[in-house]
Amino acid sequence: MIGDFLLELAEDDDLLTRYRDHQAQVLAESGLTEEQQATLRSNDLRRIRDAVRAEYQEAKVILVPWPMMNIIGIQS
Amino acid sequence: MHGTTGRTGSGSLTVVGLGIQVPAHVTAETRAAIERADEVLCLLADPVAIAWLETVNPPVQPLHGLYEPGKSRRQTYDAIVEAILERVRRGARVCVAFYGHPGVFVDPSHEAIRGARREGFEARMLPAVSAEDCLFADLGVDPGRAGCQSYEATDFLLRERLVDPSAALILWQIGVVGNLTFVPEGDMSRLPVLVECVGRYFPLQHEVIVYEASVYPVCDPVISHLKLAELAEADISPMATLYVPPLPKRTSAAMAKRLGIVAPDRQASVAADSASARA
Repeated sequence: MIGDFLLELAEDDDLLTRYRDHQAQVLAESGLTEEQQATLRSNDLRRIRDAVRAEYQEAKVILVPWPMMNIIGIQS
Repeated sequence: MHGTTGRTGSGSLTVVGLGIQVPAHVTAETRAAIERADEVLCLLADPVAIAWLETVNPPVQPLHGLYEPGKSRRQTYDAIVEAILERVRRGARVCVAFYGHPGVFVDPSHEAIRGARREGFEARMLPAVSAEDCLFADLGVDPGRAGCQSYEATDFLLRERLVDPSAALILWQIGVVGNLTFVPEGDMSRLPVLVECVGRYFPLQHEVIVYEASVYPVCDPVISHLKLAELAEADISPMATLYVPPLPKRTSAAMAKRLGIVAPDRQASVAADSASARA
């Protein structure tokens, strides 16, 4: 899963450094499918986010950072 | 004074933010607070962030279920605050993790802190990396240079905020501007109104930036340069922010004189002289 790989990268500074220096090699060793690797190579935030969310169908997240702020004086 | 009061041994509340990139933006203080908690609640925008939180102090209890399409913000916030305080009243050391900075554009975090203190519980908020912090870093702009006005986009329109175009303008959550309900897919239908209102202060040909911080270490932030006039038709993420660079403004020679400050033109020549002198 892309999400697992991103978590691994986030927690392992050495791996993240290797990813940045030798992206193709680290992706080849990652066990991710070609499609998943292509998603990560895309450098496209929206595409990567969509892929991660698709993996976590039951994810307990807000799908967008909906403003958590009440507009005072406006009934909504 | 943090509103810490009696009730030794009873519940407490710590509100933290995980920043935008998790765990890269998580401070040592925040991590320690999460580790020490009896109960960890969260309201996060990324599954990887929740997965990380689960590795620190499981089980994590997400509050996302309190959001429902069409439900009012007020109702949702009240429910979030009550869910937090109910656990504190039971005597738990509660830590609630939000994305970004927990005190920036987040009503329920502040309300939960106030509510806990009102009821005599120890409560505090820890600072964190906000989306605005990421914007300054990614766009390479310094809010101290020309000043900076920062508004939630809907609030900006509703209150008809006055803008000083010689300072930068940041409008948050333009992807849901004008919509006060929960719209997961975003709502760009009111962007033309936003363009019209911003256009009262900046030329429609002024170059603006649509920005979105990257939540992952493997990709860059979204930074799209476009004319203000093009904004309404642009392909915008529901999570996008608008950055409007300032227009130039001369300093007041009269005020500089009144303050006893060397006149700006003179200052420039002094700086140039100094540089020449060093060379």
